[in-house]
Amino acid sequence: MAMRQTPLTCSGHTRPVVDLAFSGITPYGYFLISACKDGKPMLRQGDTGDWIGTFLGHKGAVWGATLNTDATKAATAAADFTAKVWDAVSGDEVLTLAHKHIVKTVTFTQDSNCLLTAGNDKLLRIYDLSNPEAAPLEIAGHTSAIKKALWCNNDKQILSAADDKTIRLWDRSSMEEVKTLTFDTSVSSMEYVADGEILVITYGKTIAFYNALSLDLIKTVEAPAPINSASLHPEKDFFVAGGEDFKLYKFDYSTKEELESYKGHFGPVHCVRFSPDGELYASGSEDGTLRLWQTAVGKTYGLWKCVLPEDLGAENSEQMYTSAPEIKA
Amino acid sequence: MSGSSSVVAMKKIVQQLRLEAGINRVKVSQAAADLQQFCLQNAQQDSLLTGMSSSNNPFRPQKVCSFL
Repeated sequence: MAMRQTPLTCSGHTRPVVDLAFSGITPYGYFLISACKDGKPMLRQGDTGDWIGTFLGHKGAVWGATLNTDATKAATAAADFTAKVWDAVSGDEVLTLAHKHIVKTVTFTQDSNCLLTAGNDKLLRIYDLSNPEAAPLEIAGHTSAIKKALWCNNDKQILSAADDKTIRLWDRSSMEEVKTLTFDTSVSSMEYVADGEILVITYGKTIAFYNALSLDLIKTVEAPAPINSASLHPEKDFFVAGGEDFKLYKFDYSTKEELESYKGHFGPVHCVRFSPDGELYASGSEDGTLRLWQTAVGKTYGLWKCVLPEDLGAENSEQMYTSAPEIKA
Repeated sequence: MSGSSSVVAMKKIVQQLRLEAGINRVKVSQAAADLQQFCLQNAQQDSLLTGMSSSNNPFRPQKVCSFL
């Protein structure tokens, strides 16, 4: 059962990696952006981990980073009290949006026309990117710093998680709070899966799954250690989680059984996300690296190539980089 | 800020940046593949891998020389 896996280790950041996001699948593949306390978010090729570029401009730790669906735009949230929008193709800074406090989270709507930001000023802000000079719409309500904000229900509603131990669902047009979930402890992460309207929340050692529209609890799963982030596979057969014990855990979503755990990081895992095709998941850690892990260990995909044991005298899957592709059955 | 020396310094900086921007960059995965292929291809010439005779080995224990 316990399979060993060699992840692809992506180095380059010099401080802890605190957030990461994948783009959708584009004609050029899919991409990954990582937010780091070194203030320099990086764009990488999603399936190989190859560095493409670094967005230079922020003057403080970058707490949140995101890409739009076709990876043409990037947005970042930083401790320098700004959120920035970037051209992800050229790397140029397109917009700087000033805030009154540290910005923690940024996210685009599906059509990339609006940007939702939130942070330590406890406000949710919606910017119209076709009219950036205009003042953003502001939604107040949280009583402490907002950690994560997401669009949901086809961008008609907003979900926000804050240090006030609540998750709130807001209606975008009325700007009113629709529902609140209260917890005993601060929520460490939140992920929204549009297809199926599932909300993945982590707090303490728990990974909880909620219906994103009604905020009804679907199920909870306990992990062996405090969890900082979790991600559900697009096909909803597994989910992965990582936290304070430096390990990545893989669970079966229907049976809640812990399937695998992988060691690799040298520090707590801060964020975990599945790729849009579900073939791999990326983890960002306090150790400053990102690691890409295969969902189906041993499968030939990206830089991983399946090699039979008699060829190397090693386990049944190795990482090989070859210029002439040799697919061994 | 005017003064010919700072203009000269700026020109040098721009020239250096142009040189750096023009460097041919290869993807990390491609560089790793090239490195691995080079090592595998030249493995036969590597004495640390294939060993060498004691007579050629420059690091063999030396015989002591004495005056005749």
